Amino acid sequence: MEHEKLSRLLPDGLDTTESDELDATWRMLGAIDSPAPDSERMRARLDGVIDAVEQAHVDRGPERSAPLRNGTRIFHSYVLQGLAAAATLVIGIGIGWFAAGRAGGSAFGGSRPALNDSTAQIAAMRSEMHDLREMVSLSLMQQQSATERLKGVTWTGQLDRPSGEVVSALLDALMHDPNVNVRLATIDALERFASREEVRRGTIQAVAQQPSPLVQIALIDFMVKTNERESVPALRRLAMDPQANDAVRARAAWGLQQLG
Amino acid sequence: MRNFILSTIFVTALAAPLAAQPSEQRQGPEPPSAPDATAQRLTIPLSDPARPGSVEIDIVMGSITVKGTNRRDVLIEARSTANVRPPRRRTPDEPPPPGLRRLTQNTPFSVEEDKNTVSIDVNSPTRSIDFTIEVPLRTSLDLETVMGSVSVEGVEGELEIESVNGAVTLTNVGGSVVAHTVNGKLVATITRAAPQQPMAFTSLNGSVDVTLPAAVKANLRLRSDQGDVYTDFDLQLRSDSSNANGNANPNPNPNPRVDLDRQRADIRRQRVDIDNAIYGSVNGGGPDFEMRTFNGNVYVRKGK
Repeated sequence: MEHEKLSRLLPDGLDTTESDELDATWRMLGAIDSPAPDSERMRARLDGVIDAVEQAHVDRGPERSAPLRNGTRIFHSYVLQGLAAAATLVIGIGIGWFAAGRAGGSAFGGSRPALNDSTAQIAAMRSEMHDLREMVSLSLMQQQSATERLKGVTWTGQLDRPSGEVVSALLDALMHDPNVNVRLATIDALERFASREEVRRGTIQAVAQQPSPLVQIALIDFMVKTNERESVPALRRLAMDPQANDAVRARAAWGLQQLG
Repeated sequence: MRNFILSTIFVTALAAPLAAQPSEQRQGPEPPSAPDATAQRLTIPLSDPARPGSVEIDIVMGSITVKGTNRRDVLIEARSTANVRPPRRRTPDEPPPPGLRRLTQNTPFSVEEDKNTVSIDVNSPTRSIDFTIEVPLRTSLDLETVMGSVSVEGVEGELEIESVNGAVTLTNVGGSVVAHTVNGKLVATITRAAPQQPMAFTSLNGSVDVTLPAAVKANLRLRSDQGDVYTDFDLQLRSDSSNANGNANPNPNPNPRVDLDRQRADIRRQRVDIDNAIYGSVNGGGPDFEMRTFNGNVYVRKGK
């Protein structure tokens, strides 16, 4: 062992207890289990945002890093910068491809099929634009201003194929956004994903935890509209809850009738 | 670094004995003080008066009034409302016994200015303080109270307003508005709407009465569950709620998953159709404006 060899080499006059203790401490530290990783959703969102930032800044050099605000809100005023950077990137890639295609064509006697390249390139740009729009919606939803977050929520309605990340950001806003009107808007935005399992679970969970009566009523309506029978226990609890607003209790009772 | 920019101003000095107050007040315009109230005035400079600033205030008891003026700083006037104090407490107007002076027990509120944002905090939530704040014309506001009303006049910016048990009144404001009150009336007159910014005006038990510029471009989502919806705007109605934000896609959707989602939602909607919201665009459409109340009426008026 390294440790034994070391202690033999040490002069006799030295007190070895301290080094032994240190050694024991290191062993104990090594034995400790590594902490549980962050929840997968947080990880996925963080990775998504980091990827997007890296991609957006790849042609501008790593001059800045994303600022952290309260540990969670990563983007602050990066929306427009990101947009501009990504647009430059897309144009850059386009010019690059075009130039490379021409250069290749002249140097190697047109051995490269330029037409296929440009089709692939358009497809790539289109997918990039989609990712970009999604990124803008997601980062708007992280803004401090309620107007911007509201905009982010309504922009998700313009995405053709929103990823799971967008849906989980909407659910996150429904549960945690401090503004009533933003939470209310997420319910409308979530309607087209009503059949997804995580949306069904998330909205049922939100019924029980929602502090605003207007949002509670909108959630009850959502359950009736999507004919969500699994929400019956949550609605029943709400209808019986003496703490709940009168209008909410009445609406919950009405909802139970509709679903029953 | 942050400490360099951060300038924190506590109102300790202003909560000093009442005797010091009159001399201070003489400098500014005479406040319309009620006999049972203690007014405290405080002027907060903005770190960059050339840029629009913002004011944030989140209180439990008390009303908030904000007025846009030609000033370059923020004037805060705070008035303790005596009638909601616990009865055993002396009124602050009572003169101290001869030969004694009153010591301040705690500061009623604190103000902080950081990068053009003025934040006001009330130190004790049970204390009722009415705030009257004068701000530059272009200022963003984030105002919140539980027991009290909120009124804003002549301010342009991002306005985020919330009350639980009071009315919300916005007069001649510009920019974008996100406002909510649970039990009060919501009345807003918007003279200039910021382009491409969504807005929302919602209440549970009060009516929502919004006057918009006649030329405003917007998609309106209007809804009252127990009341009626009135407007004098020429509203182009849309039938499908899911396309309310103008994303009607003429191309067949390449993703079968979304189609399936939509189809399922449609089937369900046919079974129980409870969506009584009205979706329509004015002047060709624009960002979404939501106006919604449960127990009141919704009025959308055309401004001059």
